[in-house]
Amino acid sequence: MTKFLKMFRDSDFVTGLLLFAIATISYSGTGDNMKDWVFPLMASYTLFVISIAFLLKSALKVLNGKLMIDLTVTREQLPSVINVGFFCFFVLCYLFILFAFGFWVASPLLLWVSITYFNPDKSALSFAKSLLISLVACGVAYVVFTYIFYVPFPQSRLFG
Amino acid sequence: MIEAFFLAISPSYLMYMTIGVLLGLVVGTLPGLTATMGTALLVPFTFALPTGEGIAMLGGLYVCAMFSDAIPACLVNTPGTPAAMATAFDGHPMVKQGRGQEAIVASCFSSALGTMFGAACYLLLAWPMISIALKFGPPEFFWLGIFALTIIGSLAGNSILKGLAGGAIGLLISCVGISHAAELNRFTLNIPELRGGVSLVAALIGVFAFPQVLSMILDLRKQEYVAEYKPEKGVVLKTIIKVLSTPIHFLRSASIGSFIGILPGAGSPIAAIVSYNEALRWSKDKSQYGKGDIRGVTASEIANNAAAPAAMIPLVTLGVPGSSPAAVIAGALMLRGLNPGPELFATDGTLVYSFGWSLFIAGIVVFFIGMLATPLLVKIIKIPLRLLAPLIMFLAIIGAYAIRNNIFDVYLMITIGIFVFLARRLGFHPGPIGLGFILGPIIEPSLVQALYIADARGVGTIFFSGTINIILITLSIFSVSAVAISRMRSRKKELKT
Repeated sequence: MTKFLKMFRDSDFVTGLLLFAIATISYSGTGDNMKDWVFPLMASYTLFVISIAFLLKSALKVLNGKLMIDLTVTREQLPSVINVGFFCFFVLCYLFILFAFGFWVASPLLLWVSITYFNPDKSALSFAKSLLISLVACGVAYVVFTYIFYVPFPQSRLFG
Repeated sequence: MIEAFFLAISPSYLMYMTIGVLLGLVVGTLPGLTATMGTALLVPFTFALPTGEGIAMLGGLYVCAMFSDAIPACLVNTPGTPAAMATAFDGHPMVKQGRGQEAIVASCFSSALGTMFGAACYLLLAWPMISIALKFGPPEFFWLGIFALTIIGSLAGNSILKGLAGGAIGLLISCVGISHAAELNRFTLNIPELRGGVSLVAALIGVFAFPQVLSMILDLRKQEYVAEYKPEKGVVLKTIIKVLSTPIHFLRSASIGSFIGILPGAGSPIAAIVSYNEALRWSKDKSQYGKGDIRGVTASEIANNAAAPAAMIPLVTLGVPGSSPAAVIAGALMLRGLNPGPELFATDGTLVYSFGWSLFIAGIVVFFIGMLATPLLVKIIKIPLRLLAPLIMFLAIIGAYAIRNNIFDVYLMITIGIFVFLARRLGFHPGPIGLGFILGPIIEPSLVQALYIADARGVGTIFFSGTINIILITLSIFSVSAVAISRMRSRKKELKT
């Protein structure tokens, strides 16, 4: 059981599983008309073959006792991984705020929160600088995209 | 021709063409804004101008966008337009090595040379080149796409299988939407927004920009900047001399770019990819490609810029635009009551040739404006990562939204971006995924059309006969074999040492 769980830390095994899953999902979505599906089918078969190659490679490593554990997060890397997680969380929140309050409220907020979070200096001055940078960036983008490129960005759906 | 030249160097032509070049600098630099979008937005402003000046402005924007897309490609590994994807493969590593100025100067000078070569083909060789282009049908386009796909072997990094898998994933993503044969919904998951397919620009931003932002955040604790900024004296002249010292490389890249540019539907992205692949294949020392070899940057930029004027050749000779921006320019001409094609040559040959001269001169203007802007542009790498990453994210969201004014494209961009970021951790290179996605819409329609023709004439006759088909098949096999042999030799060397 432990060996099986260790396989999930082998990049070849995870790659094989991932590609097998993608190939299965795409193959299950195909239809009968050959001209419509020849391309997705060719891509799915390619992925199937490659996924099996990786899974076999991983299985051989297990049988030979040479399983490589290369998908690890060291203690030194953990804070960076957490930073990435937080940034993805900010982006997710941004999508909700975008829906509720519109593009030109959500965007300065995303920029300000991100820049502040990643700035090691947490003083009031650095907060103010981050806010200024966010507002200037959004202001320039607003002028360029609204008045030069005529791009209508999403408005607030709750208050709009 | 002479009269057209003097028209092209008149102050009004030069002024409007330069304005177009300046706008192209902005359009190409911002990921999400394409040359097509830029030219389309500029068309209404050209109505107030005489015809010649109007299309010179549009041509200037198009040509400069094909240079300025290299700037974000090199600096932050995010191609400004799909045509700069191959530029990023070597341009960004050059920036990371502290050779950012060299990368931008090489892009600028190569773009200028490529544009002038393409414009020269337009002026001198339009009719002979078009007679060859007319021989390209669906099977020929299919094999050309397959040949372009063989570059996956060069981009795959350490694992060719992962490269192939990435290409297959890119091809699968390009299949989302309505099919080409019976107009069925494919992989749309009953989501109406997916019926139009995945937006090319949103997907490319997702493949390159978003994972790059997440990688920057991952590296925040290790480094404060993208790369060290090392201004060097004399780097401009040294780089120009380096570019000029490889005339065969230049001629090959420019010829590939010009020829592929005149094929309707092929365009600058394929020209850049094929040129990069050929530069790699014919190079004696391939070890630095993908790691900061200046020839990778120049091959891509010369070709994608040569393709831009060349895309006008089928427009003015046959009335068939060779690229999307050329289609916009065709629209601009039609709105003025002019029909692009052989008729235009007969009724207003001066206009046709003055446009060609404007494109030629635009290449020179792009060089000078690029050289003025380079010292400022390279300083982007002096922005700390903790500022740069959120700003690029912001621009990526705008870019993904702006192309179709559809928030769903932003969701797609983020989803693809997270997938590619995780795939990179498993050893996948984003290049093959982007390549598969760009080439899918070219290869599949050609395949389907060829299969329909093959219903009447047989698959063998359609796909495996004809001089062009045989040449392209041979080149594809040669390309794959060369990569395989090269990898076997590298493995043998590694085992020996």
